[in-house]
Amino acid sequence: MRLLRFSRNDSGTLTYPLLAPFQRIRGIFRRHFYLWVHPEYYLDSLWQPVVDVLIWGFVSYYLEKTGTQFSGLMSFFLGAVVLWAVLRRGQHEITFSLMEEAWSRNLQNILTTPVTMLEYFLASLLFGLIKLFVELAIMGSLVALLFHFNILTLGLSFLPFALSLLLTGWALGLFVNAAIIYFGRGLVALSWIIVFVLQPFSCVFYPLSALPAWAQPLAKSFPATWVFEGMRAVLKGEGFQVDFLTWSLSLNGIYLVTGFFFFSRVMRLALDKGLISRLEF
Amino acid sequence: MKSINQSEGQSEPLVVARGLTKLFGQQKAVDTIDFDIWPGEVVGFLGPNGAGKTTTIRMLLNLLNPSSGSLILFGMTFERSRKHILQKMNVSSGSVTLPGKLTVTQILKVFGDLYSLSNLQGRINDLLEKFDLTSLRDRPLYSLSSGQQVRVSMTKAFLNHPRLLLLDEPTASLDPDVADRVRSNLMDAVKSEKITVFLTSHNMKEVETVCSRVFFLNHGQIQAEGTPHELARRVKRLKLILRTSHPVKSLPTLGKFGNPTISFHHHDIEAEIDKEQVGPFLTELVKDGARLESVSIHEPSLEDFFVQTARLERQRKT
Repeated sequence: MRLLRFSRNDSGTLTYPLLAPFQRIRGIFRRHFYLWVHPEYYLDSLWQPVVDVLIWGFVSYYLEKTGTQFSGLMSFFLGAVVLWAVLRRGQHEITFSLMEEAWSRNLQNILTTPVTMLEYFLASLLFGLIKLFVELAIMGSLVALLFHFNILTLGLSFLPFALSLLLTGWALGLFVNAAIIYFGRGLVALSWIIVFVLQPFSCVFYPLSALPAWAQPLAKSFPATWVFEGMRAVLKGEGFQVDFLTWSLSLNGIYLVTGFFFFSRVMRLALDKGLISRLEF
Repeated sequence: MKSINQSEGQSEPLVVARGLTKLFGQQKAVDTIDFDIWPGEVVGFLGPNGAGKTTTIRMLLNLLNPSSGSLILFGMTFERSRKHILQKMNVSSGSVTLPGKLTVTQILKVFGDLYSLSNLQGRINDLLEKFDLTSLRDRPLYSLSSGQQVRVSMTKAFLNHPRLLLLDEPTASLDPDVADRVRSNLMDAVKSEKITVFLTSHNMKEVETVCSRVFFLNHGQIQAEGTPHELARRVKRLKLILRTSHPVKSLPTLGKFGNPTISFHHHDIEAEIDKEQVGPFLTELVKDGARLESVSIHEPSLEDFFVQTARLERQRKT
């Protein structure tokens, strides 16, 4: 089959046409990996989950000790911390991979190779998944060791919850990238703060009913809200609520499609207005 | 000014630009330029800062969409065949860096994968040797000198055996001696790999040394085109350096010699004078009693052409 044979293109370079996209993805994966093995990078991606586990673990431990009527508080908080890390990692991976290229003034080098944005993000997501597994392993070990909480308490429902939050993170990352490319480096702080801005309205640590009336419609429009409501239902023994997951995934679908469209449009504008080179200075 | 050049014996240009224009708001960074680049050429885009050189190169790299006009590379357009075009090209820029924390080998492996190369390690080893980087292969980029970093950038640019190599002010940040060495490495590699080069620079010496054809760009327009020698010959004035046996006390009336620019001190006279006035001026000097010990005529260079063009532009504006 022609596509599996060596193909000498006009440049005299031997390539496997069918494998070329995968090799390009490997190139971006390599780029991330070579950077991540430096301590300042892997420690940077681990400190926040560890701090979150410690803070919320000790808060819930204190509350349980001081006689709160709700005995499952620790599992609520720690389960939420672990799942929130999934969303945060998803968003960070999409955003910081592109920003890292801009900060190291390597973005134009990348964009002048045959790699497509889709391949670029696929590689970033793949690498992000590996980092996520590492993070979850560390968080899971910490919560088990310090607070005797098993993150697998959620059972198999952990997987669809985590997947939905990952999709939310990716959609968020696309919007953030588009905003930074369009408005410039002045918005780079958005990469870090967006998850904190959305967290209060995502009902991570409290139920939807705890929010004031005006905030509830807003919270309902976030996919993460339905995941955490579903998580609490499972932990309370109410079983897996398919409706919650369906709402979450449907909203994710809308945000992802919108995010892709928005990002593609901004990239087109970036090529028209020369915004890419502006990002590097 | 339209400029299209056809090399004899070449069937198809690698790059065809027609009416290429780039607007940023109301400002025309590139204004309706036409040019072709033929296989085997080393083409220079020369001009002052803000002339439109980097804007042009960014359009050639699909980092910028033209506002109007057409750009065809290897018979294809970016809209339809972006990956295929970029597979045949590469770039090295003085203003764009490579990831500093990665080692030389890691950088080349990343980009080798991005160009889907198969015998990657072999290609990397060959290029490291060609650019004298073998001993530096495991050093992180940030630990290298600027000249070494530029050589790494050029090594990256040769990875995929590009048919067209774009160089955007490649030696802009380097000391003259280092720049010379880098240029020498580069041109050896260009010759051995038979690559077509498109180079932007405001370093006249560099362009004169390496380019077979030069476009002079100013205010987004191509104002002149030719070989470096042809452009230099367009300079009307040349520099004359004279030494007399006796101190010079006065000079003949200069008006009839086209008002040359002259300075003199003791035995030395320096003049910038129209080429056709050299003979009459020397004759008049001798008639006036000057005894010339030496006469040195400096042929105009590309830099003189650049200065003359810029001067005329300023005069036109005022």
